[in-house]
Amino acid sequence: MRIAFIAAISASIAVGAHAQQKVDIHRAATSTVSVRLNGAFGAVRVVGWDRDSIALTGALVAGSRLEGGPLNAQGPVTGMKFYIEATDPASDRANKLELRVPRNGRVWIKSGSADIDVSAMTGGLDLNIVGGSVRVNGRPRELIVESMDGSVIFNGAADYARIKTATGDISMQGGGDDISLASISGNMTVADGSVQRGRFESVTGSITYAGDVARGGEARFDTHSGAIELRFAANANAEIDAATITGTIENGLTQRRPSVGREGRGMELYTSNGTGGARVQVRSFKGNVKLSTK
Amino acid sequence: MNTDHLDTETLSAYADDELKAVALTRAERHLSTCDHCSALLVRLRGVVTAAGALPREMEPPPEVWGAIRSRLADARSAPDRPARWWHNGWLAAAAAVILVAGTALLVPRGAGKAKGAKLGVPHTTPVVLASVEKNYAPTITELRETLNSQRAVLSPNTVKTLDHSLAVIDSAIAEASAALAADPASAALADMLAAYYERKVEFLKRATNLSSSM
Repeated sequence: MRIAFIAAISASIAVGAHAQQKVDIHRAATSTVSVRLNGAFGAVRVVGWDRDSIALTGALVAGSRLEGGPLNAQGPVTGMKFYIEATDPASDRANKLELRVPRNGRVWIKSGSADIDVSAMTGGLDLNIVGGSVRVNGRPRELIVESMDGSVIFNGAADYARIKTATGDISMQGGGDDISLASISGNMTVADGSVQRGRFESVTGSITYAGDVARGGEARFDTHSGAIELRFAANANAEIDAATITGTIENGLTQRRPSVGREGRGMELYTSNGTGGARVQVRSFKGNVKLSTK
Repeated sequence: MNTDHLDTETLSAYADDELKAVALTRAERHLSTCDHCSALLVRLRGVVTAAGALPREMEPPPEVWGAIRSRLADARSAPDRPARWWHNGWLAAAAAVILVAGTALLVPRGAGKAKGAKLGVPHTTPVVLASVEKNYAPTITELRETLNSQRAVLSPNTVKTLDHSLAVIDSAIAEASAALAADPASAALADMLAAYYERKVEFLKRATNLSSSM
C-alpha cells in the first residue's frame, strides 16, 4: 500500500512555484474516502456532498507548493493526501482552499494557523490547528478538534466528539451520544441540544451549559476556578450532584439549599429535578457553581 | 426483626466515639436489638484495629503504577483516535481512590481539620500527595524535555500560548497540592489533583505532537 502511495506522490500534483496558481483537482472516489490535508494554508472550506468524487479547488500564492496524491493509483480513490508548503507566514494566510468530499468520507486537516469551515459532513472529522478558528456545521459521526488558541464552534450533533483547546473558546449548539469538551483557559458555551454522555472540563475557563442530558444519560462538569453555570429546562429530569472545595453553589433550579461540604469546607448540593433519570455531576475547586432554569 | 439498619457512616462514627447524645442513644438502642448491625460493628472495629497496626507510610502496589504508566505510554503512541476519556479518567480515579483509601487508614479522622490546618498552608507532605507527584513526575519530565527541544520550530505566539497554559495548569496543581497537604484524607482533593496531572500530561503530549509535525 505504501509503495502505491509513494508512486502516486512521485506523480505529484505540483503547483507552479513562481506565480499565484489555481488549484483544481478532481478525482473519482469511494463514498468513504479518507482525505488528509496538511501544511501551510490560511483558510479551508470543507463541504460534504453526494457525489462519489473529490474536488480540491482554491488558490495558492507565489512560492507555495501543493503536493500529494491518491493512495491507490487505479479505480476510485480510497485515500488522498495533500501537503501545502509556503515560503513565509504571509503566504500561509493567503493560501485558501475548498475541499468537496463525499459526505460520508473522513477528513483529516492539520495546520498552524487556519480558519477551517466544515459543513454537511456525516463521516469523520479530525481537525487540528494552533491558531485561527474551526467551525463545523452538520452531523459528523465522529468529530475530533484540537486547537491551541483558535476558537471552535460546533453546530449540530455527533455520535462521538472530542473538542480540546488551550486558550481558545468553545461554543456548541447541539449535542450527541458521547461528547467531551475541554479547555484550559478558554470559555465554553453549550447553548442548546442534548447529550447522552457528556464531559465538560476547564481549568480557569468558564463553562455555561444550557443543553439537556438525555434520560439515562450523564454529564460531568469539572473546573478548577472557572465559573460553572448550568441552565436546565424547568421540567428537566435530572439528579444533580455538585460539590466544591472552596467555591460557592447557588441553586435556582430546585428548592434544595446547598450545604457546607462534608469535608468541612466548600459547598455541596444533591438535588433531583422532575423525575430524575439523568445524572449530572459538578466538581469545582474554587469556581462558583450556579444552577438555574432557562 | 429490625430492618431499618444503621448506615456505614453512623456505624463508623459510633466505632470512633464521635456520635453526639441523641444519635448515640438511637444507635445504642438499635444495636441492642439488631444482630446485623452489631456484627457489622464488630467487623468495623476489627478493621480499625488492623489499620492501627499498619506502618505509617505505605506505597500503593507497584503493579497499580505500572498499569497506569503503561496506559499513559500506550496513549502517547496511540494512532489518530484518542482513548475515550473515561478510560484515563477511570484510571486516575482508581489511582486516587486507592491512594486515599490507603491514606485514610493511616491518617486519624479529622487530622486535616485540626485548628490551623487551613487551605494553602501545607504542614507536611502526606503520602498521597507524594505518591501522586511521584507517579506523574517521570512522564512530565520526559515530555517537558521533548517539548523544550522542539521549541525552536514553534512560533513565538505558540510558545507563549503553551507557556501560559502550562502555567495555568501548574497553578491549579499547586493549589490542589496545598489543599491536599492540609487535608490528606480528602478523596475529592486527591481525585482533583490526579485529574490535573492527567490534564498536564495530556496537554504536554498535544504540545509535543504539535511541534513535531510543524
